[in-house]
Amino acid sequence: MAESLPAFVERRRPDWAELSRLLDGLQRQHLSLSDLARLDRLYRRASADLAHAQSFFSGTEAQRHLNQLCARAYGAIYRAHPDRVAAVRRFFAQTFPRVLRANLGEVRLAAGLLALGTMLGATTVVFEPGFAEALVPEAVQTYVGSHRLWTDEALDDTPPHEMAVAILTNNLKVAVLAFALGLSAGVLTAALLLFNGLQLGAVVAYCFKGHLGWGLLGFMAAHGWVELSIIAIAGGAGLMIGRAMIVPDDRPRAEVISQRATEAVKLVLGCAPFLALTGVVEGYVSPGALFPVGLKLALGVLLGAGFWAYLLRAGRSD
Amino acid sequence: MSARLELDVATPERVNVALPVAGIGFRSLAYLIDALLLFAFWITVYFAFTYAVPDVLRAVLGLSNFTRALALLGFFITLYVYWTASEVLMHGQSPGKRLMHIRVVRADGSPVGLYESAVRNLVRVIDFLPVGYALGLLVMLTDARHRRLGDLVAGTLAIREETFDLGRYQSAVAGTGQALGAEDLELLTSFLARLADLSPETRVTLGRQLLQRFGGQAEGEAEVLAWLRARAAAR
Repeated sequence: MAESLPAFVERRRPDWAELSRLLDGLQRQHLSLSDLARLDRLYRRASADLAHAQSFFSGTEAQRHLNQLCARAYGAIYRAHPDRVAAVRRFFAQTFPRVLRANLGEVRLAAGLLALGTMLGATTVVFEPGFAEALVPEAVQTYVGSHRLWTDEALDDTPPHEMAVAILTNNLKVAVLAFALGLSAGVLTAALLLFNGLQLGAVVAYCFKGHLGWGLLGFMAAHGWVELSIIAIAGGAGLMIGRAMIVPDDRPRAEVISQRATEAVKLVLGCAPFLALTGVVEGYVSPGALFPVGLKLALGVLLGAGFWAYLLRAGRSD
Repeated sequence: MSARLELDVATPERVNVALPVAGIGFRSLAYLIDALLLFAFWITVYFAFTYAVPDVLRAVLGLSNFTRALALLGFFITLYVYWTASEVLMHGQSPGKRLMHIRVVRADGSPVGLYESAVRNLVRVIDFLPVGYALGLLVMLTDARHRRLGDLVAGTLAIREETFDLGRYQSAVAGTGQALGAEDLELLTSFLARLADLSPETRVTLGRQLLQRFGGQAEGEAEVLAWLRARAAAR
């Protein structure tokens, strides 16, 4: 005859309690080898207990308790336990550049959209000055109207620290949005890239018309290369999600989306420290005449070339 | 009892584990607790600062460019990093989720990793649109597993962790420690079935006799009946 539920619980409960204790220890990451062997045995036994409970005591609290215990143990046991420092190093040495190279098509498309927007913005302002008022922010129009660049002003009004942080947060916002909007099947990511390019092109063209263009390009020379690259990469990550939604191949769409999204987010995470770097350069080096334009340009080209050399070469197996 | 919404996971040990999915209520409360914690943190920092520095205005304007920048950066970090850092370090929980006993897991029931957590928390900006989580709540209402957009993209969901008191089985089995015989079980269940028809005096006398027979200890009519019911349920 089958054992009664209380007797079953009474007999097996000490083992369950011990398993639960060992799992607590595992979360804090210090278990001896013998404890681990014990954990393995207890987990297998608890699984058997769960199967037994599902057959004979389905729906009871004892069964649900076992259910939860086994789920916890399963999650703890079948999980890679990476060394965090080594994982970070491997991420930047291999994972991030490899993922980028594997998805260069999307990044190229994003860069193309950004460039297309820039050209459209510039030509619009040159040939249809009426649209400039809509495309160029009003504050910029006021500055150019009085023959000054707001970028020279920026350093006087706000200290570099704050400027760096403000720029960083703005760029971060654009990068995050470009990624997250990917779940509109990529449509809104594309629109965001186009719009950002449109505004950039319009502002540059507007400054050239006000004879301030070279000043603005001088401001952008040091940080612009890496910054625009990062926006394009984040946009590419958004387009990866969008593509998974449109063309999931022959697997369930939800599965493909989450798989591609966890791949795409590596691009965003990888860009984060470089975004911080551009924030610092943009806050400290770019504004004002503290550094000559030639030096800014040299630094910018060096940073941009270094960034792309890293992305295209790091972690190659050949 | 209505059917409970569950996530079924097949383990390599050939046992199906079913995890109860956390509903909108639990999830919203957990979010509110987290938001409150962040808010309380910044309020505390603010008051600690104003308490330590007598002339706040001059201090802020004058010597603390660097602190101001740091504060702005810190605030930004709490917006993006708080969630993912806590979910990774606390195995799928943030402080609010821990208080509400919910946990974010992958589709196979294991706690989220860095990448899934980063995805679902970056997509939070979309879930928040247009204001106050409107879109996220709408999606959660229509999704069978109460996932918001971030969860759908990352392939994660929130489950509830319940606490069970296994001690109650112990009290039921106390004294005898063994299963009831068929005759005793019949006696006990028929007594419990006729309970409503019995006069109060008979109920008490019979109840006490049964209590003695099964070796239980209880005072008062309600306690005696509760013990007998538990004994019958425990068989």
